[in-house]
Amino acid sequence: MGLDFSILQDYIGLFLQGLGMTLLISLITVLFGTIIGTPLALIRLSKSKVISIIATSYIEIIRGTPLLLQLYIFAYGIPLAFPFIRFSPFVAGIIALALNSSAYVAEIVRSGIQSIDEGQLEAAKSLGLSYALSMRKVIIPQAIKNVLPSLGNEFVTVVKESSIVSIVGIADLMKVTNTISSQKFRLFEALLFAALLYFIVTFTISKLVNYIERKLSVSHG
Amino acid sequence: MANKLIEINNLNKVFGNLKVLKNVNFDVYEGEVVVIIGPSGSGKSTLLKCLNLLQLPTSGQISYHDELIFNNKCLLSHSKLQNIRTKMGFVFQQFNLFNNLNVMENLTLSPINVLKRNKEDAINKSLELLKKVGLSDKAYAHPKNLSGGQKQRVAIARALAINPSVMLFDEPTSALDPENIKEVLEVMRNLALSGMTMVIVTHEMAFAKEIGTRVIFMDEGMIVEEGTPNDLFNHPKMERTKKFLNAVL
Repeated sequence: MGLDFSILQDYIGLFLQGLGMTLLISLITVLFGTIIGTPLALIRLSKSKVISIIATSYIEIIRGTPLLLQLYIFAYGIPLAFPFIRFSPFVAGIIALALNSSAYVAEIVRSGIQSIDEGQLEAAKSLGLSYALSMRKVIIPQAIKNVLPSLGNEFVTVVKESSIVSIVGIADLMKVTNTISSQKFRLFEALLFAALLYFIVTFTISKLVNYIERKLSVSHG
Repeated sequence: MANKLIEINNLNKVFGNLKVLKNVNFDVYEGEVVVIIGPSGSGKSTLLKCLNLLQLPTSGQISYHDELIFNNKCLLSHSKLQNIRTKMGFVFQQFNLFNNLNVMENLTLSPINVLKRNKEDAINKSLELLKKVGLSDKAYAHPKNLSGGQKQRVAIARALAINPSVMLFDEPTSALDPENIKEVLEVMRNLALSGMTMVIVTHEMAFAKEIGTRVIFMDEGMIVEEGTPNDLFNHPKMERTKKFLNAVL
């Protein structure tokens, strides 16, 4: 039996819609993952043991349990246990992905902060800067630059892992692919085409991150 | 007698079971250039970093302008501590210029964000300071494109930009190539001549002798001997001082 991609051409629009949804979910996830993950890294680095342990526990639990299970908790578990809480599948998917990603971003940012020479913070303190201001103006900009490749990889990971939300009925690229293939009985062609789309996106992100990295290293040290 | 700027009594610093400072007593008066010498690991840098509380002593008292700021623990709120630190410029052995900022941004970071000066004034003052250290042409250069000597001169200008009452130097030339040392010492010499109060930890003995108004010899966490450069270098009283000077001179 041969491959017949021509059958898919009526569905290009649908594929692209699914891809759009995947990109939207990934962007929101990375955005919130970073917004939650960066302070989480700072909390983990806190001198207060109690506060640090809280952040560490969160990070370890999230990283130590499957994303699929976390998704089920938000999509099915919580709405069943607390009927007054109602998430749309979209919101449940975003929450699960963003919380999951925040734990990985936190670890990336933490390693970035720890890679900065202690003298930088010492110098900032000696000039009267508060800890928060030192972090904002001196440490975090350098840390982010150092971990940009890792953050880019995390973005790529999110694009791929977000396919899991198709299970709870979000019409992302994976879900659309399933739908089309089951309608047309052309599973293999649909899967290959979806793979191509995923690859184009992740490859582009990787190249973009490389480019930004090179630009930053030209303008700074 | 000049005003007492910093007073230190019975200062101790312990790292684990290592006693780095042992009952150190030490004052700094306005206009003085105090030079601290001694073998590596004698506690000189730790003492200097205790002055602006970059390191917290284990016990003892520190006063600044007769105000007790440390008495076995830090007595200042965060904002008060930050304020006190802006009265003392600190120059590090490893320069510690902010790698994400250019020279001008390094100089204006604290004046604009901490001292709340307006941007234009901060820039003008910085240009003035850069001229003073001979780096007018490097105002918008990036630290990574500067030589060690240039970095340290920028670091001195950055410390001066907060308009401190005293400048603290922690082995400012130890990380420099020999050909870069002179330009940094020259800047420090001019600063001393302008009347700035300075505390300098250094291994540059000739410079210490020339520039210091008072020299302190430290060994094993204690002040062994102090006096005028002439007293200490030419007529040391203590055996340990003599031994050290014989080894380095």
